[in-house]
Amino acid sequence: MSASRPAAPLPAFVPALGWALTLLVLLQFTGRTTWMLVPPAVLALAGFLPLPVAPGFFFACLPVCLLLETTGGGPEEWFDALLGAPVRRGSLGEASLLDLQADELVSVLLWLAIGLCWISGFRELAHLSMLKSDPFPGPSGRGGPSPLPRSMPSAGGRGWAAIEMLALGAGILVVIIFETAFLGEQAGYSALLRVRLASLGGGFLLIFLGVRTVTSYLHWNAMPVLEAGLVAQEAAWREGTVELGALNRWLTWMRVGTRRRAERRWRILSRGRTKP
Amino acid sequence: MIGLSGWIREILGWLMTLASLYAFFVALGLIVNRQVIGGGALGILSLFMYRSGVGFLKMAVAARICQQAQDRVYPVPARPGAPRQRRQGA
Repeated sequence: MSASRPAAPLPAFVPALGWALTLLVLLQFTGRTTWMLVPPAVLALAGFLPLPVAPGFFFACLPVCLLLETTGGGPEEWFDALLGAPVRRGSLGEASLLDLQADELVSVLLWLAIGLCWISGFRELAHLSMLKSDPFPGPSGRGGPSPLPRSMPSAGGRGWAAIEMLALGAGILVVIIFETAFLGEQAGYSALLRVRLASLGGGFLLIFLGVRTVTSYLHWNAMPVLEAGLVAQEAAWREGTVELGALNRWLTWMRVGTRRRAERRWRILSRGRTKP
Repeated sequence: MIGLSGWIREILGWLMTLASLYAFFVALGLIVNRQVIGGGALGILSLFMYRSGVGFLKMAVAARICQQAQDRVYPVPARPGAPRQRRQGA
C-alpha cells in the first residue's frame, strides 16, 4: 500500500493577501478620474447583497463608468457642471464610446480582471472564514477562525463579515476623498499612483483595523470559559516565560555552584584523611 | 469582581489601539506627502503597537471571563466579623 502524503497546505491568509495585492497592483494602472473607483465601490457595497447579484452590478456599472471616464471629468466636475459652475478640467460632453483609445481598452480589460479578482477574493475569504472548523466549539455558536494571521484579531460569523464588508466600502470611499483632497488640477500620473496606493492600501487597512478591533472585542466577550482559560494561560506563559527562564537559570547555576563547592570540600577532606 | 489590573489592561489596550490607529493615519498622510520612508517606519511601528494593544484587550477580556466563572463557582464568603443573627429564645 503506497500512502501518498498530501501536500502541506498554504497558510490560510496567503490567498487573501495575494488577491488583495493583485487588486492593488491592477488598480494602479487603471483610470484617471474618480469614475473608475465607482465599480469597486459598487462591488464593496454589493457585498451585502447575495453574491450572484454582485457581478451583475459590477458589469452594469463598468461601461457607464468607462464612458464617463472618457469625458475626462470626475464626479466633482460633473457636480460643478450641474450646479452651473465653469468646468475645471477635461471637456465634458465631447467624448463618446467611439473615442476609446488603445490604453482605454487596456483599462477595460484590467478592470475586468480586477472584478474577477475581487469576486474570487470574496469567495475565498468567505470560504476560509466560514467553512473552517472552530478549534474552540462553544455554546455561543460563533463562526470559524479568521483567515488572517495570528497577529490580527479574529472575529467570525456572518454578521461580522457584513460589518467588515462595510469597512471595505468605507475604505474605498476614503480613496475617493483622499484623491479629491490631495490631487490638484495638474497632478501628474506619479502623484496619482502614490496617492491611490497610499489611500487604497492605508485607508482600507486603517478602517479595516478599526472595525476589526470593535468586532473582535464583541466576539471575545462571547467566548466560552474554556477558551478564556486557554487564552489567559497562553498570555501568562508568554509574559512570564522570560522571568521564569531567568529564575530557572539562576536555580540551575545555584545547584551547580552548590555541587562544585561540595565536591571541593570533599576533595579537601579526603586529601586531609590520606595525609600521614 | 474584576481586579484593578484587569481594568488597567483593558484601558491600556484601548488606548494603545486608538493611538496606533491615529499613528497609522499620520503615517498615511506622510506617505501621501512624499515622505515615504518616515511614513513607512511610523506605519510599521503603529502596527506593532496595534498588535500589543489587541493582545492587552484580549487578555483582559479572557481574565474577566475567567474571574466571572470563578466567582460563580466559588462565591465570596461572608466576613467573619459580620453580626450574626440572634437565635430565637436566647
